Amino acid sequence: MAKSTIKLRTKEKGGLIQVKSLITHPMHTGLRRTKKGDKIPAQYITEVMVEANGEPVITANWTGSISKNPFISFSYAGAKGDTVKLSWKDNTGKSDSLEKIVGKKK
Amino acid sequence: MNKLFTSFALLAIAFSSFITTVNAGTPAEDTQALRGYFQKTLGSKANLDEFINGTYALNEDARSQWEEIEEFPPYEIAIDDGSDIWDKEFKNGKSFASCFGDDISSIRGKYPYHDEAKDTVVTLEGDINKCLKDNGEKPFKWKKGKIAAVSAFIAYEGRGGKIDVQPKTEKALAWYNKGKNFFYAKRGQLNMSCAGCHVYNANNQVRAEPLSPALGHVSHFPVFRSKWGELGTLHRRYGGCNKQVRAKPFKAQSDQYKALEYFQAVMSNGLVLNGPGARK
Amino acid sequence: MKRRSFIKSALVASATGAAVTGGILSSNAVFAASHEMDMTKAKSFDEAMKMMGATDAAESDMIKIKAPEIAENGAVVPVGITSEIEGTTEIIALISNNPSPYAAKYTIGAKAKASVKSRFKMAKTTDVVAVVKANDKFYMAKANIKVTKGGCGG
Repeated sequence: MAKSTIKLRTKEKGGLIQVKSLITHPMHTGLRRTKKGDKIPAQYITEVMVEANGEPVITANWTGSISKNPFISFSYAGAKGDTVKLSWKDNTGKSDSLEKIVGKKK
Repeated sequence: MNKLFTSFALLAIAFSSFITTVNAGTPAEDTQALRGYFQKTLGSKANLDEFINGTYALNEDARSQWEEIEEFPPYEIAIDDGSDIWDKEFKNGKSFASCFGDDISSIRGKYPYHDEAKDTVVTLEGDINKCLKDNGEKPFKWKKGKIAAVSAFIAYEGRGGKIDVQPKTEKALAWYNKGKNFFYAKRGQLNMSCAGCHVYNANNQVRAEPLSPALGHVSHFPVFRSKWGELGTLHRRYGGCNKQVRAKPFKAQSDQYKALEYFQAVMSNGLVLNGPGARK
Repeated sequence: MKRRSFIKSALVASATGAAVTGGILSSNAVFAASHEMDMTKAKSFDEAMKMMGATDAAESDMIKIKAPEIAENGAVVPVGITSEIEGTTEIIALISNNPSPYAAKYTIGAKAKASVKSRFKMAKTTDVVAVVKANDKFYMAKANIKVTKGGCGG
């Protein structure tokens, strides 16, 4: 199985679930060039969707202005045992997703 | 680039009157002298335990950015890669554990050390590649990629240990002195030594950048530099520093850099190992 | 001591010159295959605000931006945006001086706190403008971030 591009951490504190994620992705703007002078085609995540128990919590629409290996952090009102799912897709059609149960290891 | 040249050149000219002679101190005396110097120049900011965080111990705005990055540091991806490489079987059925043992947390703190029989300094990266070669595998490239990933994994597992490098024999002391000489010797077109920036100008700025104090340099490598966009080993960074003073860099794992690592480790004795690190 | 202050002022002089030339990276793309395509086509801050229909956004001190004064590295600048405005449904981050200023939009669900953090690319010294949509009205706040090209590196 290919390794997930998503690292996802959740932590419950006082009725809030802190969600942090780091995604492996080059986030090419499309404006940079290689050392040889060839253009590196644009490849960046356009949408990150986070759901808790199937309900959308936060959706991020990103551009090439987000750094390589993008990071997102936020919190929502929830409880241990929630299933948090993060999925992304990029402008070239690539995508990935990962699920995690809050309070459960791995 | 010209501007950078000018900044360095000014530093070089200004400090040529402060010519420092390398005295023949023992490692303990040298360590004390260096720490005393930082105590004097950095004052209350010179909290010994904080030197492992380099310039982030001294600059609040930079520190807050670093703390944000450390919230979910990009090197975690490399640690995972390193862990996979560590577990992967060699063609002969063995793996890295056959060379390093199963107690991963104890590995980082053993390096660098002086091998009396071979009369050389052995580094962690050196032994990673030795392990590969001994088992009929192709060694990794020295400065980044797989070697940095394995080194990062080992460093991460070894966090919290303390640097303890003691040159006891005459031969070991010779390596120590070689590293010390390298550290204080001026080189390159800009005629700068390591100490010129990282001792006498620690926490001063070269253009927009504060210079890190030399103490604690070795604690947090390999490092994910935002500038590189990836991990690199200590010797990769040494090469970059040498280029900045317009000197021809030595090869990673050359005797020069191994000696320098050895000397810097002795200076940092007692500090906590906190690699891998994230830097700008 | 004199010598030291001489170096400092010389360094400051050269640093200012260097900061102006800036530009470590170019960012944003022209081609995007999503509904966000239109926004990345905005090539100036004003254009982006117009396209969002947010030109009448009122400045609000209920929007907090957590960002550094001087970016350590323009390729990775941590920014946090928090809106204390009731009914916030969108948080939009604009990097004024990037080739395409529109950087990110966060749609805030009912259970989520209106507070997000990400890391952004900044081509040069710039304002970061946080635009917040609440009850179909726009509000904004900004912070200035200095981006310099570094002196040391390998």
